[in-house]
Amino acid sequence: MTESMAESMAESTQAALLTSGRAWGVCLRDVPGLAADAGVLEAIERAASAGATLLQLPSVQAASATLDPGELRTVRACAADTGVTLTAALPPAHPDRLSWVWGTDPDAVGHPLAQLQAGEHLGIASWHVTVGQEADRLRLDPSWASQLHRTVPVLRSLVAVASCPVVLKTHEEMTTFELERLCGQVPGLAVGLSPVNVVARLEDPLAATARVAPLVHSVFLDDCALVRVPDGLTRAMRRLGEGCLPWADILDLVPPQAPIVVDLHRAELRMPLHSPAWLAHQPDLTPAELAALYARSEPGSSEPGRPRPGGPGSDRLEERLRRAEQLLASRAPASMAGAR
Amino acid sequence: MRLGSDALKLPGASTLSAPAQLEQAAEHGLDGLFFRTMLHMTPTLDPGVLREAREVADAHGMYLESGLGKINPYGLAEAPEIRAVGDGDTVLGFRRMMEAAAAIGITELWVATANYKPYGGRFAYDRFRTDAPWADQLAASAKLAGVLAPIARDLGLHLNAETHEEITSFELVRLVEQVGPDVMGITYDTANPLQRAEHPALTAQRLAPYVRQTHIKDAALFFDPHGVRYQMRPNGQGVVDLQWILPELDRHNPGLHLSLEIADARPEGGTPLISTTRATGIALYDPEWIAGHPDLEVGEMAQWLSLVQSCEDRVQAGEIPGPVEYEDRVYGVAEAWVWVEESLGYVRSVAQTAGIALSDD
Repeated sequence: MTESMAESMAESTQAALLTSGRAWGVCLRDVPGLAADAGVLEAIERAASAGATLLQLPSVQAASATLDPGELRTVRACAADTGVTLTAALPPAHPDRLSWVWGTDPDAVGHPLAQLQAGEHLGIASWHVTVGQEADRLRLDPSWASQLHRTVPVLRSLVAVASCPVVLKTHEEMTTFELERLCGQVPGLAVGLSPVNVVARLEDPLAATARVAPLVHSVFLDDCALVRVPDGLTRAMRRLGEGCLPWADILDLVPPQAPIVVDLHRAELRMPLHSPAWLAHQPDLTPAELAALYARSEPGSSEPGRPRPGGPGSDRLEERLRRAEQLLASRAPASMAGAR
Repeated sequence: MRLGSDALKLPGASTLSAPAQLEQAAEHGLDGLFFRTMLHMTPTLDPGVLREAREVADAHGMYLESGLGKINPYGLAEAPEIRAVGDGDTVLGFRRMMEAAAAIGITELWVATANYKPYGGRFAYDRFRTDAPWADQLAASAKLAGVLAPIARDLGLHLNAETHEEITSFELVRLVEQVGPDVMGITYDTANPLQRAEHPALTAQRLAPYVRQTHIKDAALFFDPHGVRYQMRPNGQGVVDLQWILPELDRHNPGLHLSLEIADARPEGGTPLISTTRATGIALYDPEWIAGHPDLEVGEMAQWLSLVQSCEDRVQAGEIPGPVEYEDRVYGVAEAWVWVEESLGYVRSVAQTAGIALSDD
């Protein structure tokens, strides 16, 4: 990608984001100016004053550690007063870790069933879940296909109990091919599209979006560069609008009612595609999509193994948070209501 | 195996007679010459010149190979001399060249399917002609080869289709199998398939059973805003590691002749045919380019991309010059012979490491 191409993409991306007319939200950890020890009520207030109409909680326990109905209703009222819709994440749904991630007591505060019930008091508008991590995909026994197959009844159980949409997020371990197949097997399951994650599976962000577009419930906003390194590619985070993601084209594909949720990722991921053993875990990858991904890539630094810092903008988290805050404050109001 | 050179790209190719080129080659320690076509040896197929060339080669113990030209009817108009040597009858022209080769004991004859064109992007390759689909060109080439095959069989010759820059090794193997491996083989140019996103180790495995002639060549690869840039380099200075290739070739054909192919020497300021001043022909980021490679698999493409990355890393480490800097260098006759010497040294070192004897037949 040339520098002039990167500059024009930054302008068009920012323009597309600001004039999309979508509802804007923010993940709790990315709320502008929020102190690390701040409570959820302050987070709601700050999100609202920053211009967000949706706040995604990492768990309903962020609203009440004990899932106390009274506390939850207080938080709900605060959200309603400030015009902020609340959504929340559920514990990961990997079938081989349910007993120690979910626990065995469905009434315990860490169990999804208890959290789904608590969500009724909180007024949660959608639930967001992931399955596993890249290490799960790379396991040989059980195979990734076997793990996915056994994830289906787990996801079905969540969808059956939830009274609002359950959204499976594009995460580092799963391709949109697999997501699409899972949604076909779990009626009612929706997709949380996070384009910075699909590149971890060597998916071109635009091709990936096209695959799951009709299923998209929410769009998670972040940006990254794809940096060429000695063993393949690295995802290097960038300020919104200054990475390689074609946000204008992505937003054109997804349903207009899908809100944009600021979700700034912290991890730089490596895709060692020069390793045949690693690449063998990408059975759906085609030459066309790999070429499209490389078309978005940029050269790495003079130090083998280290991506060049910066690029057109800064990759430091503080800079990225400030850019998110600016966009939140500048975007045009939503033309339609809420995230449901 | 013996180690010589293609004759067409060596200094003096346009001014020296074939016998004189052989004498020059012997002085430079080359074990033989591969004249690109019989008409390069003598435009009129002069039997006296051809006999003298054979005598000089034999006197120096050198091998002698040659060729016929393009067998793609869609490109034959670019080589009117073939039709002319047949007095207007193209097949007769090919026959006369084959008979002239057989008369002086040349049994291995190069053929190919197109010429590189001085256009930017994918249109540098006739594979992407918009007037003649590549499948049609391949079918026509196979058909003409089928017409020439009985002539070659009668004369005891092999027609060896080159891994030229426009054709993939997959397509070449299918062509050889269709025409018949008893009469058709492959001229393996070790660098050209890089332009089809092929990894040299995998190309060698596919082609080795059919290889009868060679262009031992190397190239560097660089990322570019439109794809990947290809640039010839002396053997051992690019991405073609002959350790992947020579043992495979030796296993199938220990009597194979290894013929270097160097870059054409050019006058000061001259621009090479594949130049950084034009958009790269390996237009990887053009969806039409990818669509034009149905045999390409993602595993091989990833390995090929690792070669490109390795070149980039070597440039950043200061080990090799980048493409623009390299193209701007002085490259005249003296430098061309340095290219030959460096390449000979590399091939000999690889052969020695692999336990492959480079000696007389």
